[in-house]
Amino acid sequence: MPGEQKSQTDRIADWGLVIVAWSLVSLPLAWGVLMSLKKAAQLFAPHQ
Amino acid sequence: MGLLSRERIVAGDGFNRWLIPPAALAIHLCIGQAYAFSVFNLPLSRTIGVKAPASGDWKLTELGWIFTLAMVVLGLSAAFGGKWLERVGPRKSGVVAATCWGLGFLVSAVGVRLHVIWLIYLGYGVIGGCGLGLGYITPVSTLIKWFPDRRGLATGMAIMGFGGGAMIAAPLSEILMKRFAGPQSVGVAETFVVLGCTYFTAMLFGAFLFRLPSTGWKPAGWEGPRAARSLVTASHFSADQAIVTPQFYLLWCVLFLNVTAGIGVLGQASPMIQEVFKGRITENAAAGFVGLLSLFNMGGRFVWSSASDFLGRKRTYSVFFLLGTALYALVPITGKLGSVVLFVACFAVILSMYGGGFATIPAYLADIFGTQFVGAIHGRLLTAWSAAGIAGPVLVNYIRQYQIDHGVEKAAAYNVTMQIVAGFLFLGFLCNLAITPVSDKHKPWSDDDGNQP
Repeated sequence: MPGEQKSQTDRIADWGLVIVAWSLVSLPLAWGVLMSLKKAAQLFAPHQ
Repeated sequence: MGLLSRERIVAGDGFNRWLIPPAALAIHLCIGQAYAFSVFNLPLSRTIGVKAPASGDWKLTELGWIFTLAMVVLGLSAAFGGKWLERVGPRKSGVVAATCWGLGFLVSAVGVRLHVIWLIYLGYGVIGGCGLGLGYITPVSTLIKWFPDRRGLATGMAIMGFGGGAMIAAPLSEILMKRFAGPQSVGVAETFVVLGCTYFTAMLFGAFLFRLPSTGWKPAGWEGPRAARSLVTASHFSADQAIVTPQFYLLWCVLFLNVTAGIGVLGQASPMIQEVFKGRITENAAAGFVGLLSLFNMGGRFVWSSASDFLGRKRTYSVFFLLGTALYALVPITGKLGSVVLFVACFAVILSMYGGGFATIPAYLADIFGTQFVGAIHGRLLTAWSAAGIAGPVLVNYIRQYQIDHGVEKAAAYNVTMQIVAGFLFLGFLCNLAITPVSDKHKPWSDDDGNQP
């Protein structure tokens, strides 16, 4: 209802949804960053 | 109320605004693939020959137009689609963007399979370009409405995703092409199909997660722009009102000059480091350099944009332009000193500010013109990106080639280019310095006037 405070359960569910949504986008992003770090490491590879 | 209507997505009380950044990221991580399109160029140049280019295969010069066309259409679709976005809301706009982006890949796949390049121009270039433009501005506008108190952080989160999208797409595309390649195929058409379907799905997820704040909504405890921040308006200017102000054109120049300085160099990073440090940097190491620059490009989008919430937008851009001028002027010296570390460090910071410039500009627009129509205004401003996307590489290549044709050694040919680019950045500094609040003679938008924005 408008103006009514959210219950503890509702707030936990809200934040749970936020965590799920963030995880769904963060995982592929983290993978991409790892791949880029691996590529960037070639710049500092000793054999080059 | 249709499923995609604006009224349907007005958030109720207590909606958690932290659901909006992942929606924005979902879209930008997909359209960010555009910066990784070049991984397809060599395979596309041997779709007939497969192992090597054969008679009838496309030339790299023909293939280069695919990306250029997409960038031009990005700017145009953002400019023309911005007002429509503000009217229909981010869900409908996001769904259209998802459809265009996904369909662009599928049409291009047909073009590859039938070996008809204009189908790829139409697919990726035009249809995909529309997806790029709409996809770019949709999340930014919504984020600024939800985070008026932290505009830089909000736009940084979304636009960081555009940089991150290329980091995902480049290795993913290579894995997919390897998986699908065979004696008769380079694997590009199949890769396009997989990417198109994946991106369509992911962008739909983002589009349906978007909500709009109700009229008059403010974050808890935030009273509005502080009077002390003189550049931050409490009014709202429509896109048509914004484009008759000098501030719009100064900001256009700010974005154009910042992007021109970075984009030309970004395209030359690999050959440049190999030529300046001949014999010391291998092709693999140069690829590593490009990878490192991508990381700083992405990181800069979030870091600089978030920092602008504390520094102020004008001060942040002053740092970009002054520090950038100094670093570009320093680059030839690092080459003369033979210092790879300093050379890399200069470019890492330059690229972070290149990314930061993209990410901070929507927040700057919101400060000057208000938050209500920032999507439409941002869309029009992105024509500066399209212009820079053509001007930057042309300028850098032309200056370099001119010098080589006049006997300058390849390694030294970049030096004059760096100095000219440093000059561009100083010009950008002057444009930024000239930005003031919109004068009172420009009346802000009011729905009491009964005008359409």
